Amino acid sequence: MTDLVLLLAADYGVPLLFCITLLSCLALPVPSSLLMLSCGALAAAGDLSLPVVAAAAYCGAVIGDNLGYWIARRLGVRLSDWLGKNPKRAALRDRSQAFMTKWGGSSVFFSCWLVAPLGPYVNYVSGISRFSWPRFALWGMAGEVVWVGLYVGLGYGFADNITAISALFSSLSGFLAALVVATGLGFLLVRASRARDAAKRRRAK
Amino acid sequence: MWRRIKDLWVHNRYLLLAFVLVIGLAGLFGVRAVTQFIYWSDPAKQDQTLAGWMTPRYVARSYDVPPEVVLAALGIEKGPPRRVSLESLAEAQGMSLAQMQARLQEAVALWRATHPEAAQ
Repeated sequence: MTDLVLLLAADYGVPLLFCITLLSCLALPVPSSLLMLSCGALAAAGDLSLPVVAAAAYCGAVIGDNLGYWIARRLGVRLSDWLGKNPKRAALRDRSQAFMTKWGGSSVFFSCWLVAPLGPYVNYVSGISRFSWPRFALWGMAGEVVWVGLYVGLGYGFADNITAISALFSSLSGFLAALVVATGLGFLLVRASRARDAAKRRRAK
Repeated sequence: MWRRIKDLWVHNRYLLLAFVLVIGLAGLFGVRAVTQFIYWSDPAKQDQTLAGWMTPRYVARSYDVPPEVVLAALGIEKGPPRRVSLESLAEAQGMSLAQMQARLQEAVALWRATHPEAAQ
């Protein structure tokens, strides 16, 4: 898959990049960061135009984010009865809504680039929890500037050795995503354990 | 601390296992990033192996030689169409990427030997 996409870069660079960043924002397993690096490198070699590459990647990413949001939002409306019927599901929905009201903007912004592997899922959660669309769209557009700027810029700046840069960055991005998920899980664990302690103390009284 | 872990193991086993797994993943990625950084910092490994997606101009840039050197090594006489991948070039010439790599390395070594002023 990765090899095939990269092989098409020389022939279909710009439209391909647009499609791939769009699909990657819908959680499809396509090599978007690697393709951005390669297209940036091809731009440095004079085979593609840098502004056109950046614009294509950016438009694909922004359209993909919003598409994911609206798909999930439509689905969320359909599922609202099903979600409300079961108290556990309803509680999960309410909690995610509360989380998004409080942290939605920064979640959307950072999940676009700093923890990019989580980005598509944040788009879906935003849609399902009916997070405000203008806020979602604005934070998303800001985040994608960083994401596209980072990868296309790295490809352009470090064109001499894309193999090294792409390997290093896929590891770093995996490391950051795992760290963020671990922090979230750790938080849930601590909270669950403390809640049990408090319940025990109440019973002891 | 230990008591708390035991308590979590009894009541939140799957969440705890997921936490340990994700910490392990973070460690794995972290170690991989560090080894890659060390590996690629070695100037001897700066010449990338040819890959199908690269274009002749990109190769010239990556190896820091004039495009003509690469074009000649890959057997292209006139300037190529603006963008062509090595994969298509190799196919058109009935050559494998490994053969291209060998010819390119020879040409680049020769060029570097005859142009010592270009070496950093």
